[in-house]
Amino acid sequence: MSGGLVAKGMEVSFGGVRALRGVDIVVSPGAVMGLIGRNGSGKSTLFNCITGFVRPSGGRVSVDGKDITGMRPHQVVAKGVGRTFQTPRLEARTSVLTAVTCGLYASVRSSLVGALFGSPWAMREERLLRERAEAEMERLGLANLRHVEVGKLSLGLLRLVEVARCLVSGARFVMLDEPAAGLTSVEKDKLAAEVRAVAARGLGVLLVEHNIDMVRQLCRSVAVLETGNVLCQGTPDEVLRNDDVIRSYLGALGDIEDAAGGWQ
Amino acid sequence: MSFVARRGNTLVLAICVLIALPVVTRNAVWTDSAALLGIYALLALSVGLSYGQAGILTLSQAAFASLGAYAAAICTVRWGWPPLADLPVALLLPALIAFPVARLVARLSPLATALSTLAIGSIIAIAIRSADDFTGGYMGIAGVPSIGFVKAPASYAWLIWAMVVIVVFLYENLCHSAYGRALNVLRFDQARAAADGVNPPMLVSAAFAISSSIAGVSGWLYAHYISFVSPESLDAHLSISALLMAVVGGAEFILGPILGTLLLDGLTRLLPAAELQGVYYGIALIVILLVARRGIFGLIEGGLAQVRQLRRSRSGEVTALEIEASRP
Amino acid sequence: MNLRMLRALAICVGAVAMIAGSARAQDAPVKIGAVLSLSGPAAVFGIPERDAIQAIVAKMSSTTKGGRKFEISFYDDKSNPTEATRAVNQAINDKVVAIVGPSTGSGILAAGPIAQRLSTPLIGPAGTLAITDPKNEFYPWIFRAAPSDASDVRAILQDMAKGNAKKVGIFYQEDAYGKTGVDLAREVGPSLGLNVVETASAPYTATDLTAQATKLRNAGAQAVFLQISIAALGSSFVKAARQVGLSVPIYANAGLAQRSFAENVGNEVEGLRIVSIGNLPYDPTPGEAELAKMLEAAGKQPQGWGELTGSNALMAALGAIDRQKGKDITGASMRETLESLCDFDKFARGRVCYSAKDHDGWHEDALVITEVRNKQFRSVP
Ligand SMILES: Nc1ncnc2c1ncn2[C@@H]1O[C@H](COP(=O)(O)OP(=O)(O)OP(=O)(O)O)[C@@H](O)[C@H]1O
Ligand SMILES: [Mg+2]
Repeated sequence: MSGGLVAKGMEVSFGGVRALRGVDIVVSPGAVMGLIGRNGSGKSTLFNCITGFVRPSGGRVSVDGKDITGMRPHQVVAKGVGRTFQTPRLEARTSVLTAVTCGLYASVRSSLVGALFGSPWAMREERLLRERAEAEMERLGLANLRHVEVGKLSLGLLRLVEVARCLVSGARFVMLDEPAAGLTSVEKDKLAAEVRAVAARGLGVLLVEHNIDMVRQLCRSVAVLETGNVLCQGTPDEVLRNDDVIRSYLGALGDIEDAAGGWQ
Repeated sequence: MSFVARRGNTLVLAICVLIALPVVTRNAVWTDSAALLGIYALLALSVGLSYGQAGILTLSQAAFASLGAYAAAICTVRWGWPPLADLPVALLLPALIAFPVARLVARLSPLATALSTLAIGSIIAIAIRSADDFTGGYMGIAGVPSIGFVKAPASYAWLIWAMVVIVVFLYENLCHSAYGRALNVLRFDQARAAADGVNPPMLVSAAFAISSSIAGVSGWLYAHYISFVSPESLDAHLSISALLMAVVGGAEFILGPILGTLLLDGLTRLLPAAELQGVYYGIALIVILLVARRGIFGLIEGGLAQVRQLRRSRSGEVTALEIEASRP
Repeated sequence: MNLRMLRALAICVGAVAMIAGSARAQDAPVKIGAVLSLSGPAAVFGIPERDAIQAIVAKMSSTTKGGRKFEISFYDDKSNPTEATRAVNQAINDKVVAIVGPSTGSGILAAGPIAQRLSTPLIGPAGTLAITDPKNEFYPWIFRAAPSDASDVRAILQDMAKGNAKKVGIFYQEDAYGKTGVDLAREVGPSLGLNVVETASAPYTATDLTAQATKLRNAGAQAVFLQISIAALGSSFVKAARQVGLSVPIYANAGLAQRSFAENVGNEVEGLRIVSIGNLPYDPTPGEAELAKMLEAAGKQPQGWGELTGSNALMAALGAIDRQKGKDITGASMRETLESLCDFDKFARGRVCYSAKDHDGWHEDALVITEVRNKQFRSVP
């Protein structure tokens, strides 16, 4: 039970708004956990409080049994938990390769002084970082965008760059916030394949996604959030048959994406 | 090959120095200007690292330089250390002050951080003036010896510019490392950097400390070259000048501050010397900053990017838009 | 035969060339540089220094009394030591044989090594003690063109000692000038029976000085000594002193002997005693009156002693040039001549003799004690 990324009884409020009201979620190594829910239900907030960007008013987060509640974001990353942002946060002028390489920061071993003096060891590591970034880009089909400035990309591709940046980090748990929005179907397939491959390597994935097909394809288990509560949890098929879920979430989904027709 | 390509700035600077200095050092006044400009260039580079990379708009660099200068003066004149033995002190002392200060203030808003640097600059200046017995108070310290083998102004010009090249080399190393990239991200978006695993206040403070060490070196060179330091030598005006030099040249570009230093010094020399010079200087500054928001280098880079794009589209290379259009 | 003729010819040609050459050297004006604080805080003194030099040069039509042509060029040290080194470098590169300036003590200390390295003497119109410290490596190359701060302080404290005061309070501005005054007063005072019981200070921009005045009053000061060169600070302090009931005699060092101070203060400063280098604007000696006339001819109003110290430096340089009649003048020859220069033509009062041991030259007899009366500095007999 203590294995994996475990969040228990997470509570967050913004002033009067109680964004999370005691949410439990478990991401196991090697599995893809889905997280769905209508807009404003608290999915991103859950991400933020697990990764230290928002301080929870209640609840505990642990990684493989070690408590990480209240840690600052970089400390959470150091514990092996990576994430993407729903709205990609990228500086327009950096190249795709550089942006992805930035995701490797946590795995850098050479010191600042070593980097400053360009020690052979630091130079070798730098080459290695680049190779790892290129490999990840290859897998996600971003290789030929290597030198393109991220500011010139569409939102969909930007999200994919975000995903690459997160996956490359060497985190043992990755949390992806709507990574597939705005991708073409071929790109979605590539992304799905990579997520599956990542899970197969033993990483735990927490996936927020409005694309029901993708959730069904990838996730062994799905949790549905509704105004800060977990409405229900189970296999995708169980969850998507749940009346409450149909009423609260899938009813609204038609506005979000025309994927709703595809599941029944 | 990629090593050389990624040290382009160092290479360009080294070549420029190797071409220009032999010519410049034929004339005594130019030699002197070259030496002083090199010292100012180091100061501007320290602003480039602090402001252009770490995002700390610093108004304390001249104070850090004076720490370096006084370290040199006190170690050699008061304690009789051989010159060069004082270099580590000039490097470390500013960093030891800059790091904890930055740790304290890096979380504040950019404006508050800038004001804190202004404050720490004046605290250093006041401390130097009050520690009479040690620093010579308002009078300063005269008779700082030369750095051993380096005596003639031309040798100083070479030494100083060699130091500039070394600093640019280190700076460029930093920019091409994970830490440099992290600083770049951090400047635009602290949260994004934190999600990469960066500890923003820590990294910013480390960069600020390095920048203060660069300022310390420039002060160290100043003290040995001029042989005299007083509170007026490296005063708050110089902090502002250094900031202007960096911004005008392009603070975020490695060579921007150096270009800015040459440009602004040239400007003060070309403008008619008179009480009105300040006014002309101000107008020229405003015009430069209006035309080139990211400094002269920003302007050049913008132009180059346009040319490159034009060439790419001519040569039929795929552009980002085409990639987008041809997405499967 | 042929060879001998050739040799004779060569000698003739050589001789003619030498005469022509030396004649040309004699004709070419001797170049003097003036590195002065034409901008920045020290411009209060740098500008009058320049004005006096320009007025004298105009009056003399760029020819010394001995008939030698000279040429003077001005450089701005911007009241900053680094700029002073640049200006001195530039001036020496322009082939000057001596430099009047820099205006500030720190400028002179910074430029000293350059003067030494490039063998060009500096004649500095500054009181800063350290500039003629024999311990300086560049000592041989610096000559003072004004009484030192030590002379000033001694002169005014001697005047103070004539009264009944034993306990002295000092108010000084927070800079090198202020600080030196305090140190000197503590050093000189006891030998005159004066004890410094309290000091108070303020930065240039201070306006309310009641706290400082109160501090001196509470210490029981029987006389107050002002070591200030910022006119506004002086008037603020005197006002504050009267407000808090510090009604003891006030003495001021030469920094306040400026027209702008005398004219812009109210009745409360009546009777204030100030030591001054000469008394150009109000009670000039015949020599000073001559300089004042030149200044007026050039459209300038005498401000205080800045004009006198500027003229001192220039006249020392011209005196040294005239002592080298018919010789080629270099920086080194100027230095050598200056080092034994005595009783040269000048406008200020006092006897001046430089020597290898005394690069100060100017002493207490160049000073005068004045009293503020009717918005004027009147010399006290
Ligand atoms: N920083 C904040 N300050 C105040 N309220 C916030 C903040 N962040 C989120 N909220 C509120 O918390 C609730 C949950 O928002 P959250 O962004 O977590 O939803 P979400 O499930 O990610 O929605 P979406 O599908 O649109 O991304 C919303 O009501 C939102 O308005
Ligand atoms: Mg969200």
